[in-house]
Amino acid sequence: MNAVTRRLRSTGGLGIVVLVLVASLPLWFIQTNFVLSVATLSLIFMAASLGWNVISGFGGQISFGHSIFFGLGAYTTAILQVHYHLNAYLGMLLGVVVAVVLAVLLGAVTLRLRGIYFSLATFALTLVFAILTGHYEGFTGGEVGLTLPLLGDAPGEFSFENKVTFYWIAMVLAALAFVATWLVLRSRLGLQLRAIQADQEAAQASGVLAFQVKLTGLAISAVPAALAGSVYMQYVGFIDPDSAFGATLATQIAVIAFVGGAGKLWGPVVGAVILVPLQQLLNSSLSAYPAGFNLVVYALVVLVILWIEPRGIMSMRMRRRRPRPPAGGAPPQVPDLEPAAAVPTSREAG
Amino acid sequence: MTTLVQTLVSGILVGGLYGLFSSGLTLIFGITRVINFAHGDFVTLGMYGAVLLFASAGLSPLIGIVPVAIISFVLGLIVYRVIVRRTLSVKGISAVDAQHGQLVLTLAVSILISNVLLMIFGPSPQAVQGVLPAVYDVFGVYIAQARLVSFLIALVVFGLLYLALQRTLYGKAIRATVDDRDMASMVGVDPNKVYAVSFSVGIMLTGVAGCVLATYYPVTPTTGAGFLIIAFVTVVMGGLGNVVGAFVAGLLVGIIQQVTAIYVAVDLQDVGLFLAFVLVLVLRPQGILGGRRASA
Repeated sequence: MNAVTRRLRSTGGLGIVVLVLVASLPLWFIQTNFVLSVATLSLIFMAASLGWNVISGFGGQISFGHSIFFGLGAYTTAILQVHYHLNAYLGMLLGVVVAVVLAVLLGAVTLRLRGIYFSLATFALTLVFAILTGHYEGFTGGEVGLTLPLLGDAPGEFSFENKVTFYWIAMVLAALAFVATWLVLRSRLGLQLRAIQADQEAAQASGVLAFQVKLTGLAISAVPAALAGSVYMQYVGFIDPDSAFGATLATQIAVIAFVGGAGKLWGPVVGAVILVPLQQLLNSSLSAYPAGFNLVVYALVVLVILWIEPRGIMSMRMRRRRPRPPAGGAPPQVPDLEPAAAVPTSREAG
Repeated sequence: MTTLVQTLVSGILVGGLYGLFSSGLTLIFGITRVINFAHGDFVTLGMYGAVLLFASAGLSPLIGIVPVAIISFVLGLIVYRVIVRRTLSVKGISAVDAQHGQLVLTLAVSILISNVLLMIFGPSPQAVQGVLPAVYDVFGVYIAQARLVSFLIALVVFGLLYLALQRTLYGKAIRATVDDRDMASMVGVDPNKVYAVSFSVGIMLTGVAGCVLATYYPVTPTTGAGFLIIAFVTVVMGGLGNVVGAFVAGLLVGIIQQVTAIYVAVDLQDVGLFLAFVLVLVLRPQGILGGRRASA
């Protein structure tokens, strides 16, 4: 194995290659506005799912309520902008603050629950948010939702005529979320989260303050989700209770990561690249297919992938590669620290 | 006073059906440890079954119970054999990973069912019209015939389930597996058979509940989402895996929903329920009716 492939095999090297590739897409691949919007949405949901991966993937606390943070990010910016004419960037920042505070408050209650109980509680809570935002309509616009004022080209207000700008922003957001989760994974916190996932009792016996670690993990994982919600709001310009807090989004954030590989660094990236375009491309409002067809295909794809490998796509590669003895000198990898990093795209890329 | 009695009666009558499909969910969880995210959609399937039989053959949902029960049982068997069991047979997978896989797989089944229904029947609500139309006036409290009969059917079907669990050999094997799966397989209970049967019976109960529910509740392809949450709430309140607990909790959930709807606001009826749910989870995770038996 020469130095170039080794560099490519590292997460950082691969990450830069992917980033350059993604950044160059509008120049040679993305030709229509429709494809551009699909790509932008993929990156936005990728960011939310990357956030999910911190507490649910690494920490093993499966949340079906990350739509809460997505929705809070979206609604906070929208409400501040519509009712108080606050600057959009400031609103975005406040959205993150609100989401983190709520993550700590809700986590203080729900993170005492184990396994499936935590999942069910977070799922119920996001639906509570959906119903409440629909009910208190004076503030939130109710079931009708909130629409941002059209500002034209106003970069100071997060409004751009050129939709490619949103694509770059979504890309930067996803890249930052990726780097953040990577750093978490390599940190002491990441180690503690993964220890809790493997066995909470054993982790506690070894001195891990499980509850505090989980709470920190949840707060961190709320940040990319809230930012994603905020960017989504600015990009789409419209939000309603169901698209912010509804069951579809709540489960979609988790399903993206599960299909790619929950707990794997690259899992949400792979999952979002496959699932979001699939859902958007076959959308009935834009094609001749009958209503529901896009989601039937979506469900079948998820079924097939998880039927083949219930741990997601990233594990498929691992399973296939495992029987082969390492070729040449052992690569400088720490197998358990970065499970995903040990699974590079060697053959196809090289 | 009449309003209160009316509210309680309505709650209990609808709660019987909640109890029936929730006991199906809890049976499935108690035995196979599968969190079935497609559960609500099997209620919807039962409802569409009733609508279809009524529209095409003029069959009353009360007779339709039989074909719907058989079809749901077979569907449950297929879903279990083809999809759920697959996760357990993957080499080197941990129990937790397998459970998460099942979670997402049943979620995909849920999306599949509701959207196939959407493609076939369209988004508008459908109902079985004119079956059991009478309304009884009991000292100022109105009781719709359809609701009363549905409640009685739920009671009878649940009674049959209870008897089957208590008296038959399969029932005893199922209960033994709930209590201690390793010990049960040690004394000769074939876990694969018990898993498959209880999964299918759970789906069957759910389909029957849906079929009966169709006598007074219009159905759309997405009706199931609401029932899924209700079933989760009910099952946790009753104690995961506790069949009797689930049925009793179903009545309670029906009452909570009706009381919130009448005394707070109709569109907030589920908020009261969900907050009660989170409280129960945090304060009494073994269920409000359950004993000390660990079930997680």
